[in-house]
Amino acid sequence: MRTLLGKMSLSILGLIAAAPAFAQEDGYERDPAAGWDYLWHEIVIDITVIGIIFSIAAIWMVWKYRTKDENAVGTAPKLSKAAAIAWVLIPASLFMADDFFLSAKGWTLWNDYRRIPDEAKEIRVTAYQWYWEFDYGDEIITEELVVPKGQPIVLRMTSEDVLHSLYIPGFRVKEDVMPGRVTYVWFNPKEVGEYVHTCTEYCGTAHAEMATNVRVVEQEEYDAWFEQVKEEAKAASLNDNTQG
Amino acid sequence: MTMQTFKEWFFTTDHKRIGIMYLVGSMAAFVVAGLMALLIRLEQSNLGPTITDNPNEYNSWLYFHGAAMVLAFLIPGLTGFFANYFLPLMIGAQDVAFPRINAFSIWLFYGAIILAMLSFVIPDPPDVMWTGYPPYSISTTSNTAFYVFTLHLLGFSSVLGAVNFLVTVIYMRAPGMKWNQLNIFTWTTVAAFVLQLIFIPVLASAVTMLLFDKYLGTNFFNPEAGGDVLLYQNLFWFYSHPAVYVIFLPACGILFEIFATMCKNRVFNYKACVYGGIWGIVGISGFVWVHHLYVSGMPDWLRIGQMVTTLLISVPVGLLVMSMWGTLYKGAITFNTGMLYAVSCLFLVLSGGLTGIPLALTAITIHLSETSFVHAHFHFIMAMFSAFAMFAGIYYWFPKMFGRFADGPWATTGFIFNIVGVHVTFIPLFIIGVEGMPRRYWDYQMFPQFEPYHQVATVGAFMVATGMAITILNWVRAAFKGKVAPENPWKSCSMEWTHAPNCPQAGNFPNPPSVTDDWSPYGYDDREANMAATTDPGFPAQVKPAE
Amino acid sequence: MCMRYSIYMILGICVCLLGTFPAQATQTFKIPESVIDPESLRINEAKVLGLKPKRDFSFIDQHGDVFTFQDRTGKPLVLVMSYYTCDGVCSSVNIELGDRLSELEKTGRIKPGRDFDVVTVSFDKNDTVDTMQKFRKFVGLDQNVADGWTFAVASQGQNIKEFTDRYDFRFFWSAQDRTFFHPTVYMVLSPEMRLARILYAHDIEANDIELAVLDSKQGNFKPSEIINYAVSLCYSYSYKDGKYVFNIPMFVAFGSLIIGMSALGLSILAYKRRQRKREGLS
Repeated sequence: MRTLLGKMSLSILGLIAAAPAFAQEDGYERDPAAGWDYLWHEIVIDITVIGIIFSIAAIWMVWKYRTKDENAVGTAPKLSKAAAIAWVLIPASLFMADDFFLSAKGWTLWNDYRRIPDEAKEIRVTAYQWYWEFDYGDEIITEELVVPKGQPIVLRMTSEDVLHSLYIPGFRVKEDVMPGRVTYVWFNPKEVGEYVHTCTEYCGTAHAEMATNVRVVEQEEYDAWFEQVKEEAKAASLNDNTQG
Repeated sequence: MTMQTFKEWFFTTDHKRIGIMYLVGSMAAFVVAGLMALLIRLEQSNLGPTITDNPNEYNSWLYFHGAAMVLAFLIPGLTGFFANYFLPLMIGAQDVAFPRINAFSIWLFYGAIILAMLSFVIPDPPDVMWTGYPPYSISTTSNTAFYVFTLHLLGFSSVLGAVNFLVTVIYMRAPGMKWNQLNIFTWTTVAAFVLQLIFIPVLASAVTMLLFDKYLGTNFFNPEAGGDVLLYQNLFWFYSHPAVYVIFLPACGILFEIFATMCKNRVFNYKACVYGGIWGIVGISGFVWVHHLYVSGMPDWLRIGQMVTTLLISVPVGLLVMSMWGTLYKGAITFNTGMLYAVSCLFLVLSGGLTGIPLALTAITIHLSETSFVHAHFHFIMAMFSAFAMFAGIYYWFPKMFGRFADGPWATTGFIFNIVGVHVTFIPLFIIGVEGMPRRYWDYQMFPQFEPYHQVATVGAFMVATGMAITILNWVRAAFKGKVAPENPWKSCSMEWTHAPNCPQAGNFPNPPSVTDDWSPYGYDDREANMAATTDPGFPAQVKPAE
Repeated sequence: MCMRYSIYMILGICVCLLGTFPAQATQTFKIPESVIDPESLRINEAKVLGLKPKRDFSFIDQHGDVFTFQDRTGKPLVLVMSYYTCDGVCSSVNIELGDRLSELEKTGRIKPGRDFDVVTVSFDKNDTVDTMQKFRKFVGLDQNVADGWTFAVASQGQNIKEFTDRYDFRFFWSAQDRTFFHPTVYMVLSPEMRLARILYAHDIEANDIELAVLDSKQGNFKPSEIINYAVSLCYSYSYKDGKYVFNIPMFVAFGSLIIGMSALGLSILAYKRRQRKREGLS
């Protein structure tokens, strides 16, 4: 019994001691998406190791102590008071050590997610059943999100009807969008491309179709696009005026 | 069935018959909700409309599957059937404290099931998911009222059950039975009922306010007029996270009973398991609900604070798991179908529990919440773990209930289909969840690359369905035609086996037992002494070798 | 593709809604034209919530110093848009705010100056530092005024309308009444200078200001404010009324939690009593 306890605590201790070795601080810039991937990788190792230890223990015991004799009884010794307390304190402190280790890591990343860089460009997002609207300011409103590469973007979001949730898997961001409240997410689009942008809070019939693409483009292309949208907005408002 | 037997069952106040009725009702809910799961998987198996082109229809399947599985199968199955049938037997009581209230609870439960099933025939079935978040549940044209009334009935039934069983355990234990001589299953049930009693009123009032908002024009949750949109979610999860433990704890309790009996071992570190594990979970359960709201715009300090409390759940759960593993250590393990299911639960609790660790981290959940990763996670830990534990329990106690064995080749075949099927279903969902596949989607045009994974998952779902069909038919067969079982076939030390006959009659015990301090439900190391520590054992034969 | 579907759906829903619209539309036209409908000046709160004041728009305060709202980052701020010319009628929002602030100071829970700032700006382009000082003297807000209360006018060469438009704050001069018609509101800005709440003057109490200031911090309160925060959970903001109302669901929920806990106690008591009775009988 004592050897089993020793072996198990050693292996879990070893895991915790080894974990910081995975850390690679160099080349880390403020980018929650990269931070997410990195922490996810670490946690997967952490839980895989714990899972394997317990699985092997279970398989080994089920195999080792199997018997055909229905009248055999188990021979586990009765725990002494000290052993019983040790079997509480040691596992509890190991689990707690892992918990606090993960909490610290998680908190660091969380701060990255919540602290918006000063240079971030702000776009207001309004969610409706079942589409999105992006307000670039100065009356420029689009139904697709286009952002220049390398420019941190903060989305300030609100809803006109029910709960929605803005989710861009490519940037690892998600936050609920509510009527009467403003929430935000920020991300740093580093690669040119199209990213899915969808709703992940159940909002009714077309919940599964409430998606658009986020287009990340080079700065020049963005400027051209923005000019074009501006022209269109101007034309539209002129039109409204003449008609009105 | 003659009129006489019908009357006997209808007006019964016997806890065992009520238990069997809970079993039948919850299995009926399980079958229907399981069919919904098949429809859901079929719809997702291909891009675009597959078996319906109406998302509303799909949404109402999702609603029914979730609500029925959690509220009408898992909770009533574990706290209705298992607690009703076995708890009084384990503590040596002749019935529950308030048998008539118990009978009332079962009819409330059947009322709720009928109300839930009615949603298939009304024109606008509820489509609010089992969570029913406003403002959608208020603005939708579907009949949210069915959801609310179903919850009311089930909640009322559960609260009555909770009062009943807590009083039973406090006052009706066999003379001489101390708290530390209770079965782990009894402890877990007590804990589950304490949670139900404290937290159900909160849920009931929250959904009632929802009802008022929708039909009477009040503004409890309407932000326009002073309501708070987020408050409902907080109240809902304030109940519904503890509800996860209402399911998880009795499921663990069943496993402990099976492991102790089949390993002929004492429960490892009993006091740590009860006071650290079970009551630790109860103590912490009221302070972790925000982890369901990590991306809902809650204040940052709450999200970080409850990240720590959520991670700390691993401490009591860890103690429970250590006791479970420890019970296997140096055991004398024999296998039956119940034990097969129980051993598979060891792995389900690992895959379900460990995938909960990333989800406890606020920052990681930002990407994973509301994806099929979460969906697969809670199916492992809540749905599969608990359902498999229930199946383990049903096989294990089958001889007690029906006097016959349900084990056999059919039982094993069903088990293999089930265990393979759940992994084939949910491992692909874990993978695409990390890639960003959202939950509750009728279709996924924006993620065409996930189609093959969905197809594998659908195949898995049909494997599970096959396994479940075999299992349930096997039970029906075995209840009437199975091999007749001797008394105490698994040679347990627990009171429901040693002192009550198979198919116990009203009153349970031919000679109501009492025990001394030396008795333990897990006293395998010296069976003779253990039996001697009880008065007038009704079935002393069980300690002798079977013929 | 999905977008198109959803647009079709929305169009469809709009058509359905239009069908029901005439019934409601007839009611709004019943208001006599000669009276100004305050609803027409109502700020569309959903549109402006979370907005920062116009960037680089500078003001001159009562000491003649120039400042912008960016400089005020770090503390919640109550913004009042008003005018200083008392030609017949004075803008009453400031007078009322003065009363509320002195009430607040008496409670001592939250102090203007220490916990939040107050800024009154004029939306009248004719206002100057002189008219401002005159106004303050006239309405008695020149001395014993709450700490942290700044009175300001826009700096030279700026169009104040750009500043007010950003918050959907619309106003006009009525020659007939010789007064400005404008929304009488207090805008509460968060510590990072985003519009958090709009309180409707004439209808609020000191309590509302306190709640809005706490609310604007979005849960980032100091440990010493924990009681205030807990109290604030009992209220929730009503967009319709522009003030705080009791958060009834919170009370209902707490009530039911207590019911749940006492149910356990009561059932144990009831059983004990029955048991005693039974023992008494036998």
